[in-house]
Amino acid sequence: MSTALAAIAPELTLAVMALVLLLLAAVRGQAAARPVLRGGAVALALVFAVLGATAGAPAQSVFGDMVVVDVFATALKMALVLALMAALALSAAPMRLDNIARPEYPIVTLLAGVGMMGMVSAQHFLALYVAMEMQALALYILVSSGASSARSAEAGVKYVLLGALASALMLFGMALLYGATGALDYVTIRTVLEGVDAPGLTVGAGLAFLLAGMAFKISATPFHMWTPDVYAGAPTRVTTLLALAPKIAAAGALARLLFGPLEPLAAQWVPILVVLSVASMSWAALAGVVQGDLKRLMAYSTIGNMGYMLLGFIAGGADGLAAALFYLLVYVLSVAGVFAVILAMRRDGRVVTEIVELSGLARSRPLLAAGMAALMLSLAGVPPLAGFFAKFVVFKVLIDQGMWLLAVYGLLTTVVAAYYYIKVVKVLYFDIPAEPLDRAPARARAAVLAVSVLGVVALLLAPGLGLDVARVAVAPLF
Amino acid sequence: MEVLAVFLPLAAFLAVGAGSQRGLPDAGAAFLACVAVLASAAISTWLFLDIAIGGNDGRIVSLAPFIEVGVLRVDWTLRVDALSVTMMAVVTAVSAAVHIYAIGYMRGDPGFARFMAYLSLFTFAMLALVTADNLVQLFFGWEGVGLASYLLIGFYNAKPSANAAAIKAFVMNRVGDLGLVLAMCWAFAAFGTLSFDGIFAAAQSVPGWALNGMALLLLIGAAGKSAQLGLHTWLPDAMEGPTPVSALIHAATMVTAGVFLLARMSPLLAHAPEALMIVTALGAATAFVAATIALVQTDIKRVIAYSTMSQLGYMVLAIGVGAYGAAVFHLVTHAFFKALLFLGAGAVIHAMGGKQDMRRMGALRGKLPWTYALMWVGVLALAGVPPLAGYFSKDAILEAAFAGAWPAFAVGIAAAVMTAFYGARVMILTFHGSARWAEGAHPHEAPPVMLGPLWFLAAGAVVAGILFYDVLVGTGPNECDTLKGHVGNFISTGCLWRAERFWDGTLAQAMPEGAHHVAFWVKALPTAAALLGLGLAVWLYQTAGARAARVAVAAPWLYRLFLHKWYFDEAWRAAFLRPALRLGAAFAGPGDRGTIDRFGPDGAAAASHRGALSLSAAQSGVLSHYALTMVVALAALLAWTLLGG
Amino acid sequence: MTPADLAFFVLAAVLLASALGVVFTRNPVHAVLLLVLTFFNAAGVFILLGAEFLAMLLIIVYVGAVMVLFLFVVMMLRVDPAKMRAQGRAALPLGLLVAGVLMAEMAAVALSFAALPGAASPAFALPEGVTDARALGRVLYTDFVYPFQVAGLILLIAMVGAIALTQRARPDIKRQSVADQTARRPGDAMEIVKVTPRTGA
Repeated sequence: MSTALAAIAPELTLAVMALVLLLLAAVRGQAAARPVLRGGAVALALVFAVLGATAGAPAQSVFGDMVVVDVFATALKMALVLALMAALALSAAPMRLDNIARPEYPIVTLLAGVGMMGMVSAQHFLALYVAMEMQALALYILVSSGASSARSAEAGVKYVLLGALASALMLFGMALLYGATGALDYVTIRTVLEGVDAPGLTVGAGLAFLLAGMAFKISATPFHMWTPDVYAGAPTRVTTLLALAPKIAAAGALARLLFGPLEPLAAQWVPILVVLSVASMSWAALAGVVQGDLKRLMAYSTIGNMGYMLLGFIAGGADGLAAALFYLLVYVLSVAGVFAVILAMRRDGRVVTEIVELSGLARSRPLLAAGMAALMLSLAGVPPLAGFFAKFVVFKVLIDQGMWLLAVYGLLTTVVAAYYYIKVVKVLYFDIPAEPLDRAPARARAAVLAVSVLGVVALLLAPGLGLDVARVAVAPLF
Repeated sequence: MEVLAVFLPLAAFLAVGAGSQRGLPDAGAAFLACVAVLASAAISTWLFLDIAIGGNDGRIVSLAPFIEVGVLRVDWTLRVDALSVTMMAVVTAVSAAVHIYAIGYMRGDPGFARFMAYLSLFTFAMLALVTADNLVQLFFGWEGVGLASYLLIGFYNAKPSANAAAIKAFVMNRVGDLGLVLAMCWAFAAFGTLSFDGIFAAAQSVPGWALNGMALLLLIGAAGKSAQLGLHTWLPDAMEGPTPVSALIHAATMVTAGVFLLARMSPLLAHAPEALMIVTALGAATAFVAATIALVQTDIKRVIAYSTMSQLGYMVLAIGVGAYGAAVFHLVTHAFFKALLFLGAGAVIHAMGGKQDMRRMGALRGKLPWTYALMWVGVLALAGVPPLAGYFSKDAILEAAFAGAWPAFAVGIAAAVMTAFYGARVMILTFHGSARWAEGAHPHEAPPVMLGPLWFLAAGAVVAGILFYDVLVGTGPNECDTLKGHVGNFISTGCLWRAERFWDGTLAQAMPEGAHHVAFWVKALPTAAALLGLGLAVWLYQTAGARAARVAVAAPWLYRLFLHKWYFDEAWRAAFLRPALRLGAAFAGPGDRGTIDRFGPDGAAAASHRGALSLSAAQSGVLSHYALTMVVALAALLAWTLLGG
Repeated sequence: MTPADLAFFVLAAVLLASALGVVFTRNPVHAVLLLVLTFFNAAGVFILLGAEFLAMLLIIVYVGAVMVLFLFVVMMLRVDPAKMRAQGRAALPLGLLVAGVLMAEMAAVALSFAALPGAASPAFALPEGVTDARALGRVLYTDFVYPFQVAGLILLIAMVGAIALTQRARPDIKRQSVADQTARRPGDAMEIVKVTPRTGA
């Protein structure tokens, strides 16, 4: 038992810290909001340290093979912790300004983090399911926590109901696979599936249900419908969290599924992923064009970019998955900066999210505008920014696998999608300046933006490095 | 050490650039930038001495891997060999002088800190360029200096002419860059590597026509950067930038990048004799044409700008005849005296309250005595009067030209006459004669912070030739005796160094064989030409102003040809711009908008837009629709797996 | 047909019928009550399968707690059923079609169902002579302690979230605070002023 507890020390630390902070909140009430936020940051830093300390440890499975702790899990957990930190740091200012500083939200964010960390370590359907439900429930609450309750609540209800549907589909898929293979843990399922030539209808149906649920989690078309509404309706600080962390967790869980128990079914799931990916890339590229709201735009951006990430999964193998992971991390890095800018958009104390509100920002806030422009260009895949390298790597592994048709199609959609990223740059620099935005000191926001922009730019210096890290991270799955 | 030398200016750029947004005081910006560049200059000088006197070998400092794609592998490295330390020493020395000068020249300008930051950025990019170990990194520096040049030319961005000049410089350079990029592609295709060592090692394994092709593409790249005839029109316009910029970028360093590129690639060029003939011809033509234009310009900075172009022509000419060492030597000496002239001109302009027209000057000798004296040093060095710097380097080039291609030699001598002439003309119009100042002009001597760099550069213009002759182009002890008559050997350390040992294979050769064995009259002719030019100028301008005007009237078409800069701008406009615009209009109107756009982008955009709108309609916001979509998708997925599986 | 089979068919039939009733009845209160009936029948099916503990759980948790709560909510919210149906009707044909397709697909899966060769045997067979509640209890805190604890955290999140989302500071509503009232001292609200005659306060 003690080795098991040591193995999940990061999750345990985070959960315990969350409980301690909850106690503090219970004793001090609303006044605890700031200390709890700070404590949350400290907790995440602590977890990061724990992760760093255990990064080199050999892979091990604990709790009867339910949870696996390997380099892949540790790497993704580190990314998750950083994403949570960014989201938490960015949430401080809006919570204060909107006068809804409540200690509960940071705590729920931390608990969502526990769930996400569980997802990337899960090696058992049951462990995956409870971890996934845990983060989902926490996110439902956060989405509904807006100050303007009507929109936020509507977004929350949509997210809850559709999420429940997706969760039910997934559970049904797990049940079907359990029925066919008699096992819930990945290792046994893989052994059983490898032993048969034709897996049969039950397994096929289970796979379809499972993938439908996962597609919902990573916002792949056509299971993406919730994304724009929830992104736009949720308070921006929560949208930030939604865009950063859950995608890492879901991608990690999906990688473990596809390259673990479902690896023998690759012939069946690759075409499904192709459809999901092509649909995501096309839909996001087209629908993003007419968006006027920055948060909705970022929702479509997420959908499209998940499509590109799936290309890496489709290419398969360690190289393909490494490319996908690299893509995902670059995307998350850029998006953190974009949301730092969106959170800076306030005029006369009101939150604004329309793209036109950024008109001529380069005049009044040149640094902010330059950062945003760099991030948008990176998202559009303009060399030599990080987004370009990420897309390049993904397309390259596809072409290496001979799937150049898909690569060409992906390239075409990036051209269409570049339109709406570059439109933002145009608005920033060439439109008649709107009223200047409020200036609120926010060191955390500036720090997140700086890290994001510098990261996106500095990758130019060593584009190979990020990919090498990704290669090391995905090694345990192969 | 090497790393510090290159990256200190970058650090200064980042610090000052960031500080300029947050109210860093001007003094602080000046201090940061100057200290960084001075430190970099000290290190570079030390490196140069280490290799030149210490006789140590060059080295390659690896920093980090840059690109690894398939067989293409490019690293960030600093190549510190004879050629790059020479360049580093020159670049940082002149840059330091200009940094300090700018403290006085730009004082009180609202964009002071920004200016300092750009200067530092430029210095870093230039250092990155000269320390490149492969074509990719060289290209990085190449584009970096282009960017810094663009920013600095357009520094007074409220002035439309400055913006136009900046854009012109950028676009003309882009044409050259295209040549360089194509050369890089070809080199990679032919050699499978972009590192210099790899390319040189494999140079002979490639057929001659390919080497010639690459050399010509490199020449196009060099011509863009170094303002060779055809791609030169941006350089005079670039004088819109502040004068310290003209001195640093458009005289001493950036414009010599093209020459540097050719010198760096000399082990490859050496195997492309046909291309070298074209290089020679282009260099000679540039030297001559630019000199003629400089004869008649009235804007003080433009005269010096055309002079720069002419001297760059000499350097390219030297490359063409295989005198790579002489080209670099002239680059070094030219950096000193041309920067001196520009900074001196800046002091004059500063004194005249921003006026640059020499017809509105005159008799400034008494008001600016130091500037006057120092500029004469520069002009004499430029003209090639012994024993100043220009004499040695120009002589070396012309001797090599005589040995290699006598028509180039003849053109070079003619240009030398004109060089001396326009140099003296500038001095006479500016400092002698009667005062023709505009109303309200109160000329005054420049402050010490501006004069100091002038002194330093003047010292360089005096001694650079003597000091570096042997190390850069000298032939060593064996031939000392035959060169006894040479003034240089008299004073210099007596054949201690051999250029071939200094270059140590970095250049294909320092001087072509035979350049040192030319007849005495060949050695003497350039000096005679310089004296002739100076005398002519004095005769035409000093004794009676009307004489010059009579010459202009006597040959009006020639005067107009020179005055209108051989109609290059007009020719470009007629040959490329207007047809391009017309062609563009034709394509844009019926061709592009009517056909391609309608069915291509516009059609696609319209279709996208229509599609996007219908997709947006699908995004209705109604929960049950979303759920239904998911279930339909699920049913389809299921059907597929069940039927397929 | 054994009595168990008979019981199953009866329970299953009532289960399906009442589930359909939940969907199609117009009155929300009836729907909730029919749902209770559904749960009872499902519990019966569980008992037939030997899962007595799950059956009890279903009745205690869902019927006893959740459904009663639902009834309260339905009574307090006064949902207009006509309006809700209008929204759904437009999608009805497509919905029915999809439901049909899904049904057919699931039928195909169900009919072809067979455990794969080499499939693991069900992992947790009930040991002899142990009730299922006890068996569950044994593994819940040992083999399944990880998901069990995570489930505990899920409940905690739900509780924290419910409180945080519903309990908002409402400045427009006056509330009685007993502690404040008892802690109040005369000096807090009263000022004793000595009034000199014929000068006013």
